[in-house]
Amino acid sequence: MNYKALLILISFLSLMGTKALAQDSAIERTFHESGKINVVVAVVVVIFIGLIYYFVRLEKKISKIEKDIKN
Amino acid sequence: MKAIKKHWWKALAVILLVYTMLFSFLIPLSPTIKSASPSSLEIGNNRIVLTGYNTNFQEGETIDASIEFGRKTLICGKNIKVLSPNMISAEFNIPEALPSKVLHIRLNTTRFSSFSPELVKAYSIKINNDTNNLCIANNAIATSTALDIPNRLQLNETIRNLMFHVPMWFTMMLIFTISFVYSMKYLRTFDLKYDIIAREAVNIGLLFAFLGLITGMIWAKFTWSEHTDLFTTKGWWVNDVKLNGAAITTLIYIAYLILRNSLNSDQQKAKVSAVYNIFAFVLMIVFIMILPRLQDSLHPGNGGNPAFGKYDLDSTLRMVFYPAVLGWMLLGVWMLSLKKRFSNIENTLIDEL
Repeated sequence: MNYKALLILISFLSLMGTKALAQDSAIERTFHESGKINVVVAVVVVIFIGLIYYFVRLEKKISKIEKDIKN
Repeated sequence: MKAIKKHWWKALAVILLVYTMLFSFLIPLSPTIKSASPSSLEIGNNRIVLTGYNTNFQEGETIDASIEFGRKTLICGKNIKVLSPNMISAEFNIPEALPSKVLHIRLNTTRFSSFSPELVKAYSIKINNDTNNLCIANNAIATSTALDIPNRLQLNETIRNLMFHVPMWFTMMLIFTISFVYSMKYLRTFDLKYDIIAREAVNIGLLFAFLGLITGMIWAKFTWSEHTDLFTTKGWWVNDVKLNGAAITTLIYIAYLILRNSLNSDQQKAKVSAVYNIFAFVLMIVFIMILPRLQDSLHPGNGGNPAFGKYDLDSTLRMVFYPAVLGWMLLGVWMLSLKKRFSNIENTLIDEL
């Protein structure tokens, strides 16, 4: 694992995070636009990511078993 | 034929979820008056601009606007002018005495009828409860019965989350119930195949619990925490009984997994965690079903009884909500059955190797 790259990625993401916090009002504005429809979009996306997480975890387990069978 | 007999409920899950998606995104919100400016009225003649949502006013259509309180029409709007598809202006002549300082606005057209509670205030009037109908609204009667979702104060479009956030909890409860039943079965027979189902059910149930928590946090952030004076936090967590109960339930079930992993032999794992699971289930019922009904909560149907009172859901929402709950539940059971079958294969392989 390339830790340097990971470190850079994490610091970059946290920088993005602080910037996003500074522009809190801008983010909130997009959520308030047109009757708060973006809140629904966010909720549906979260559920979709949750289901994908289930698939990824199941696939990992299946891959492990496949490897065990081969050995 | 055999395939249909075995898999029909999965097809049903897909059909119900597609139906849920289509309807919860395609049905428009009912036209409503969202705001009035100025919202505080003085005694005498006031010209106010009413801004609507989805109203689509047309030039020359019959529009009646009136100020109401307690089912009484108090003031009829005069000289109603259409400014834009979402804006009209109307004149209201406020008398010196009215039954309340906070008043509701009713709007009738030939296409729809809308009621917006507590939209305007008249602080300078005197309170007089005996006021009768001061005018008779020349009500235009809505003739079309278009399919729409109610546009509630502060909720607006987010009412559609009812089809996504709420079924997560229903599914979680169903799956934890399955887990509870199989833990009991295990304790009666000491057969490890029941223990596998109980364990996987807790895994899947926790996934739904987390989805419920996160979606609920997003929903609450943009509706409750910004508008309630009761809860002054403006953050992602509102101090509500049901939220705290749900969070504690999630922690209890995480502890179930930790407990399992802290023990060594399979039978010991199964026995201890099955007993724990029975306690966890009872606690879930207490934290999610009982405590929120004993205290005031922001969730509808709490701080009192039935969760599905006639004021909480209208018929259009019911038409989508019940299929949505069933669809998500079937999806959860489907996910559980996949995990269970996988774990069975894993176990037989480990025994063989």
